[in-house]
Amino acid sequence: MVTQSAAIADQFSLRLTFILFVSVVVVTLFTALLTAPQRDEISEFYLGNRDMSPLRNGLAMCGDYVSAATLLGSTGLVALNGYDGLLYLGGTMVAWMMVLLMVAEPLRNSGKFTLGDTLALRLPHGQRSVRLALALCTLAVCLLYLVAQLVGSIALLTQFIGDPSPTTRAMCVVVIGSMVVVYAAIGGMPGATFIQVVKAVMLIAGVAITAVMVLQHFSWNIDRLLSTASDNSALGDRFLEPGLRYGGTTTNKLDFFSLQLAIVLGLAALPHIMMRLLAPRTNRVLRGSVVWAVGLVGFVCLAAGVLGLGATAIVGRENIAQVDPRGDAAILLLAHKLGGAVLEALLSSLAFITLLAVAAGLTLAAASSLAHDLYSEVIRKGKAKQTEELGVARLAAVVIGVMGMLLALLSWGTSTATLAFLAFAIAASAILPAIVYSLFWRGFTTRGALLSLYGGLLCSVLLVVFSPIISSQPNSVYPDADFAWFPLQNPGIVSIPAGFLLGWLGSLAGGRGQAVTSTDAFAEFEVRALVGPDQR
Amino acid sequence: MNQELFGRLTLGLALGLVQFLVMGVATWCYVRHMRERVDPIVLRLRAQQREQEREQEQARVAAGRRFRAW
Repeated sequence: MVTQSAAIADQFSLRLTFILFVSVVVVTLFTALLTAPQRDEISEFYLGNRDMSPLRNGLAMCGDYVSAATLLGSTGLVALNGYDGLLYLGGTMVAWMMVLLMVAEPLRNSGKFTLGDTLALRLPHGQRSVRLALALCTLAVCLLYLVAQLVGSIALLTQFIGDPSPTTRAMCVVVIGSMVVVYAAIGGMPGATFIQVVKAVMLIAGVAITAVMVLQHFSWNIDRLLSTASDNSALGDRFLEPGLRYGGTTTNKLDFFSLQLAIVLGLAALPHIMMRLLAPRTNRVLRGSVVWAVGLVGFVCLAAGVLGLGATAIVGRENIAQVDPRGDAAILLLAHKLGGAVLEALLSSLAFITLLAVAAGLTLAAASSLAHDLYSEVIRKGKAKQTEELGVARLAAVVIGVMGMLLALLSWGTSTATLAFLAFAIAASAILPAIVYSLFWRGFTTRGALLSLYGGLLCSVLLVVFSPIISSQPNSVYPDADFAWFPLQNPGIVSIPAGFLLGWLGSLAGGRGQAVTSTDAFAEFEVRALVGPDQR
Repeated sequence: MNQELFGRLTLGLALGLVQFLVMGVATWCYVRHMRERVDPIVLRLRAQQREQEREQEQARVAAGRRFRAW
C-alpha cells in the first residue's frame, strides 16, 4: 500500500506548481480544440498531421515514451540503488534501438491506421479473428498502462499534501482522467501530438537545466560527483557496484533479467508508440523521426543518471528513502535543494503534464484499436462509414477513460513502476511475437497469430495473478492471502518465450495448404513492407 | 566489474557509458546502410511498379481505340 510519505513542498511551491500546471493544460486544451479533426476525417483523427518535420515527430515519440514512471521512478532507482538503477537506464536505450532497427520502417510501410491493418495485410485469411484478438491485447496493455499513469497521479499528489483522504484521491483521479478523455476524444491525434510536443520540450529543458545545475555544483567533475554520491549513500563503495538491489539470491537476478527483457522487447510492441510510427507520410521522415527520438531519449536517460547520482550526493540516500521508500521523490527533493521552490514547481508540474500526455496517448491508441479493428472491421465487416467510425472512436475513448479511472481507484496502492512494467511484459509476450513473425517469417499463419496473441496474453496475466504483486507480501494487493507460487515480480522471462513458442507451434500445426497460401501473401507483403503504400 | 579505472569510475560504469556510444554508432551505421543500400532498391521497385501500371493503362486505351474504330 502507499507509503506514509510526508509532504515535501511548501505553500509557495505548491501554488506555483498549480499555476504552471493549469496554464499548460489550458493552452494545450484550447489548441486541442482548435486543431481537432473538423471534417470528420478518420485518418486525421488516427494519425494527426502527417507532414510534421522529423524533429517534431521525434519529440512526440520521446514524449510518448517518457512517462512519469520513467521520470520519477528511474531517478529514484538510481538514487537508491546506484549502479543497478543505472543499468535500468541502459535497457531503455536498447529498447529504442529495437524500434529503429527492426520494426519502425516495415511497420509504417505495411500499416494504415492500426497494427491490425498490418496483420490483416499479412494474413488475409481469417483477418477478422486476428483483429479481434489484437484489439483485446491492445486494450489490456493500454488499460494497464493507463491505470499506472493514473495511480502515479495519486502518488505524485501524496508528495505534495501528504497522504490524501479517499475523497481527494478520487477527485485527483477523476480530474486527471477527465482531462485525458477530453484530449483523446475531442482532440484526437492532433491534440495528443500537441500536448506531447509541449511536454517533451518542457521535459528536455527541465531535465537539462537540473542536470547542468548538478554538474555545476560539482564543478563539472564527474569523479567528485561519483565519490560524493557513494559517500552520502551510507553504503560506501557498494553503491557503485552491481548487486545492490538485484544481487544475492537467484530469484533476484532472474527478476532483474526478466524486467530488462520486458523493457527492451516491450517498447516495440506498445500500441501508442506504434501509432506514432504510422503517422509520417514518407519513409525518410520516419527514419529521421526515430533517430531524433533515439537521441532525445538517450539524452534524457543520461541526464536522469546524473540527476539520480546528484540526488544521492546532494540530498543523501537516507533522506530520500525517508520521504518515499521507492525513491520517487528523489528528483523533487534535489530540485528543491538546488533551485528552491521555482525549480521544484517546474519539475513537479512537468511530472503532472507528463502523466496527462502519456495517458492521453494511451487512451487514443486503445480507442482507435477498438473503433477501427473491433467495430469497423469485425462488427461492421468493413462497411462502416467514416463519420460512424469516428463517433465510435470518440465514444470508445470515453469508455476507456472511465474504465481506467475506476480501475485506478481500486488499485491505487500498487506501485506505478510495477504496473507500467507489467504492461511492457504483456505487450512483449502477446503483441510482439505477432509483429516479429509477420514481418520476418514466411511460415506464419493465422492460427499461429491467434495462438501467440491469446496465449501470450493469458500466460502473462496468469503469471501476474500468481506473483508476489498480487499476494503474499506486505506491499501486494492482497497481503493476507498467499497463492503466489510464481516467485518473480515480472513475468517476462517466462511469458515472452511462451508467446513466441506458441506462435511457432500454431503456425507449424496449421497444415501445408495454409502455409502455401501464406507464402504467397508473404511475398506480396515483403514488397509492400519495403516499398510502402502507393504514394508520390 | 568493480575494478576502478579513473578515480571512482569503475569498469561497470565505463561499460555503461560505452553502451551509449555504441548505440550512437549503430544508429549512424543503420542510417547510412539504409540510404546507400536499401533506398535505391526501393526507388527502383517503385519506378517499376509505376511503369507496369502505365503499360496496363496504355494497353487498355489502345484496346478501346481499336474497338471504337471497328
